[in-house]
Amino acid sequence: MTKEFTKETINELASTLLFAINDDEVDFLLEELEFLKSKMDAISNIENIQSVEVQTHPFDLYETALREDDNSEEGTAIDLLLANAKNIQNREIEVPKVVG
Amino acid sequence: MALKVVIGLEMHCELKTVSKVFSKSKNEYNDLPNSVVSPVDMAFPGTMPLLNKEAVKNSIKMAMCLNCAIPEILIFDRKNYFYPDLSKGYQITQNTSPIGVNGKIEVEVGDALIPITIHDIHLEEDTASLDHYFDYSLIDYNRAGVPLLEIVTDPCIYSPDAAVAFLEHLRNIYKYTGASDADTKKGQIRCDVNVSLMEEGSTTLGTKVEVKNVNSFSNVHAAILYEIDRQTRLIKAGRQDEIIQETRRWDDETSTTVRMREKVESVDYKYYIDPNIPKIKIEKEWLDEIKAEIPMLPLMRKKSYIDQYNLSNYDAGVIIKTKENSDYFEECLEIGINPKEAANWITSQIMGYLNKYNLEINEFYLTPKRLFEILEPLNKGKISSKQAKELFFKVLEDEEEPEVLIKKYNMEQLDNDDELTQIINKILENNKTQVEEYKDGKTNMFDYFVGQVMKETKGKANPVKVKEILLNRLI
Amino acid sequence: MIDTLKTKLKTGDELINESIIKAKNSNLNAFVTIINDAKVEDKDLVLSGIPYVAKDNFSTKGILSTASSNSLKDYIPFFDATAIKKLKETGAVNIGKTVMDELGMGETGTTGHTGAVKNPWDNERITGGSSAGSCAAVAAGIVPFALGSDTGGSIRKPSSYCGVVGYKPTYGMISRYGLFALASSFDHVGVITTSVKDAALVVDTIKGIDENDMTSWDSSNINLTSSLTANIKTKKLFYIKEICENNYSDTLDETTKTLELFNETLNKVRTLGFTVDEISIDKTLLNAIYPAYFTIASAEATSNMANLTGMIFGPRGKGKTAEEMMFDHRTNGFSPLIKRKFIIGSYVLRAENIDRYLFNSAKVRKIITDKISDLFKTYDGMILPASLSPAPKADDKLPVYLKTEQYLAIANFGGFPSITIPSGFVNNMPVGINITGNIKDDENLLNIAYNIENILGYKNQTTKGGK
Repeated sequence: MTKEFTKETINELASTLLFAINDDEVDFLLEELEFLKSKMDAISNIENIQSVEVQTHPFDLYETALREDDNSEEGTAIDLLLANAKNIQNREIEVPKVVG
Repeated sequence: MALKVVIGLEMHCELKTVSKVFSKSKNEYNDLPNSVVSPVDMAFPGTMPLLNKEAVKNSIKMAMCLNCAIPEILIFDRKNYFYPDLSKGYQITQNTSPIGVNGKIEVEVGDALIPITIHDIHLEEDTASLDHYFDYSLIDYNRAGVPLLEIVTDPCIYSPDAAVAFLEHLRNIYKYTGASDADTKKGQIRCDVNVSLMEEGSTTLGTKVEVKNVNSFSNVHAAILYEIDRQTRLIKAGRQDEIIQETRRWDDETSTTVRMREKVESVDYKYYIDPNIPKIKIEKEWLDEIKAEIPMLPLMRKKSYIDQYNLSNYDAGVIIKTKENSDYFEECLEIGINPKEAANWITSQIMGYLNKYNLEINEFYLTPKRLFEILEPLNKGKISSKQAKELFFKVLEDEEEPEVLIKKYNMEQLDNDDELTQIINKILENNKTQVEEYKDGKTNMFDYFVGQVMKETKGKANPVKVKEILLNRLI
Repeated sequence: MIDTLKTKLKTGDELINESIIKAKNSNLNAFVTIINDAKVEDKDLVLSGIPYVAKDNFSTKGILSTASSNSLKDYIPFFDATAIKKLKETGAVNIGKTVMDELGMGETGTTGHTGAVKNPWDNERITGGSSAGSCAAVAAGIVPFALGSDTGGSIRKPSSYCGVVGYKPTYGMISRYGLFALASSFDHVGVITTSVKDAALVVDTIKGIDENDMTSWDSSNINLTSSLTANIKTKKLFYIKEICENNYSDTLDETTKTLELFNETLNKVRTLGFTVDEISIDKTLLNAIYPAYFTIASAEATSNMANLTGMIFGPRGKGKTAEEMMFDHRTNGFSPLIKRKFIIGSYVLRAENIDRYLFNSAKVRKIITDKISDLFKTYDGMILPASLSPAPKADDKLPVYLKTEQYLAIANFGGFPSITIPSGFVNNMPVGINITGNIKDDENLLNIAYNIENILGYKNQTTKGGK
C-alpha cells in the first residue's frame, strides 16, 4: 500500500511555501496528516455530503454596495510606505536579483 | 503530411478607471516610482480588497460585446504563488465563476467572416513592476492593483492573420465601449499566444507551446510565424518529441521565441474563493443599464453604412477602423454632409493628411463643421473642386475658418450668368479664327475657349457654368 | 465597571498612570509593549480617559505590532486599525499591546515569540488563547477592557479560563480593517471586559460599516447598551446534549466538575423564567467540527500570510536572490508550529486533495451552520460551557477531548454573535458559560447574557489585587 503522505510531499510543500523544515517536524507532520486524513475519511461518510453546497463565507447578506469609482486617493507618502523596508534605493524597494 | 496551426490567445488589457480595482489609489501611469500606492497595494497586514464598481461595469460591457454568459453572482478567487512583484503572495482573480463565459464573435479577416469562440473573460489585478539590474532588482508598486481584463479564446484560430485581426477587433471594441484606452504603446495590452501544430484532418491537438507577454500585435504575428516554422522543422526532421509543453517569450532582438521555463506539469495555484469579498448579486436592472450604455459596435456600424448610405466596403471599413473615425463620420452626417461625400473626403484627403502628419482625428483642426463649410460652397458652385482641395490645406495651414479664407483669398467662383456671358463674348470676339475652326470641326477648340475664360478670370470662373454658356453661344 | 471608573476618576491622568504601573508590575508576561507615554485627551464621551489594551495583531500607528511572531518582531505600522481609530476618537487610551499565540494560531497562550502568558488566578496555569494577554490584563484588573480577536474561540475560551467576559459580535459588525488576517472567513474583532454592560459600551463604540472592509455592514440601528433590560422573561435557550454530557474518554475530574457546574448554572437560568431545552446533534457531525475548522483555517491562514516575506516589512532575510531572501525570512520568522499549519493548509488546497479536504470541510460548515440557523428560528440562543475544564496547568498533558475541543467554532462557521460570561469556579479556577445567538441578533443575545450575569454574581470580577 503506497503511503499517501511522504517526506517528499512535505518537503515539496515546504519548498513552495519558501521555508526550511527539519526532520523532527516532518515526522510530526506525517502523524498530523494521518490524523487529519482519518477525520476527513469520517467526514466523507456523512450522509448526503456529496449534495451539500460548499460554504465559503459565514453568511451571504447580498447587501454590499460596490465602491463607486468617482474619486481616488492620493498615494500614501513614500516615507510611510518604505518605513519598515530594510533595503531601499531612491523610492523603491531593493531586493537581490530576481531569477526566473 | 499536411500540418495545420491551432492558435489560442489570452489578451490582458488594462481597464480604464479612476482608481485601481481593489484599492482607492489612482489608476494612472506615473513615472515617479511608488507615487500612486496605498497600503492595500503593498499588502500591509490588516488590509483588504475594495472592489471597484467601474471595473466590474467595464468587464460586464466587454462580456456583453463578446456575447458571453454572465453569472448571477460575482465571485473572486485567490491565485496563490510567491513572486517579488506580488505583494500579497496571491493575486485576486476569477476562476470559479468568471464575469463572462462561452462567448462568440465574428471577425473580418480579409473578405471572410471568421467565428471565434471565447472560453472566458475574467477580471483580475495587475502585479507590481520590476526593474532588473546586474545583481539587484527594484520594485515599483504603481502598477500593483491596476484592473486587468483577461480574455481567453478557445484554441480556434487557424492563422496568424486571423489572430491579429481578432486582437485588433478586440482593441477596437475596448475603445468603442470606453472600457479601456487599449493603447499598446503605453503597454496597456499584453498577449499570451498558444501555438500548436496538428495534422490536417486529425482531431488530436498537438503539443501546445505558450509564448508569453507579447506586447504588440505585429510581434504576435511574428511569434506565431516563428513557432510554426520552428515546430514544422522539428516535425519534418522526425524530432517532434522535442516540441514540449513550455513557456517561451518573444525576443525582439533576435526575432525568435526563447525558452523561459518548462511546464513539465502545470503549476498548482491552489485557487480558492476569496472570503474578503462578499458574494454580490449582479442585478438584471444593472445589466440592462450597462447594455444601454454600449454604443453600436464597429461591424454593426459598417453594415449600416453599407446598407443605409451605400458606402463601399472599403470606405466603410476605413471609417469604422476607429471609434473616432466613425464618430467623426456620424457627426458629418448630423451636420448635413452627404454620406458619400463625407466618406470620400474622410477616406482620401483626411486620412491622407492624418497619416502623413501622424495626427489623431479627434485632435484634427478640420472638424466636421469646418468640413461642412468647405463642402457647402463647393456644392453650391461658389468654389470649384480644385479650390475646395486647396482650401482644405489652407485651413489646416493657417488654422483659420474656411469662410474667412474664402474671402481672404478671393476664392469665390465667378458664378453669375451675366458676368460670365460678358466674358465669354469677349473671348469669342477676340478669337474669331478659333471659333471658325471649331465650327469647321475642330472640337478640341472648345477646351481652348474654356481655358481662355479661366485664364481671364484667374481660375475663378465656374467651369461647369462656363461650358454651359459656351455651348449655347457656339451653336 | 467602566461607569464606576469614570466616577472614581480624580484627574484624567490618574487612571491611565495607575494602569501603566499595574502593567509594569505585573508578572504575567501579558505585554509585548507597554505604552509609557499614553496620554489622556478629555473628550467627555463614554469611554474618554478609560485605559485599554489591544492584542498585538491590531495595527497601531507608530506602535510595534508583532502578532507575537518573529516574522513581524520589528514591524511598526503607519496606520491604525479601524477599531483602534474609533477608540482614539472616543478618548479611550491604549496603554499596551498584548501577547498572543503566534499569528493567532493557537489556543493556549503559550506560543508567542516573547513567551507564555500566565493565568492571573494561578500563575502555573495557562490563560488559553489566542487572546491570551488581553484576557490576562482584564482579569488582573490592569485595564477594564481589551480588544481581542476570535477565529475559533480565541476570545471566548481564554475568557472562560480567566474568569472574564469575552464577546464576539456578529461577523462584519466590527470592521476587520487593520486586524492581521488569520482566516478571513472566521476572523472577528471582539472585546474582553468584566461585565456584559461594558462589553456593550465598547462594541457600540467600535462597530459600524467601514469602507475599508467589504464584509462590514451597517449596524447603526443596533444599540447594545440601551437595549439591556433587567427582568426579561420568556427567552428560549437550548444546549447540545452530546457536548454537555460527561461522556468523554479519559475524562478529567475538572471536566466532571465543570459539567456539573454547567448544569447548576442552567437551573439558575431557568429561575429567570427562561426555557432551557436539550437538543441532540449527531456526534459524527460534532466530531467533524474540529477537523473542518482546522482544515479551513489552515488553508486560509497559509494564503493570508503569504505577504510575510520580509521584503516590505519584518526582519529581512539573507540571500543572493530574492527567493533566497524570502526563504530565509520565513524559515527564521515562523515557529515550527506555524510551519506545520502552513504545510497542512497548503496540502489541503492541492488540486488532488481540495475536494476531499477543503470542500468537504466547507460542506460540514454548511451543514452545521444551517442546523444552528434552523434552531434559531425557535430559540433565542444556544448555551454551552465556554470550556470543558478550567485552565489547564502549563505542563499538563491534555486528553484528546480537550485537545480537540473546538465547538466554539460553530459561531465562527456561521458568523453568529457569541459571548462568554464567568459562571463559577472549579478547583478555585474560574470557568464560564458561552451563549450564542442568531446573526444580527446581538441586542437580544447581550440582553440574555446581562440577565444571566445578574443572577450568577460574577459581574466585575477580577483577581485579588486588581480592581
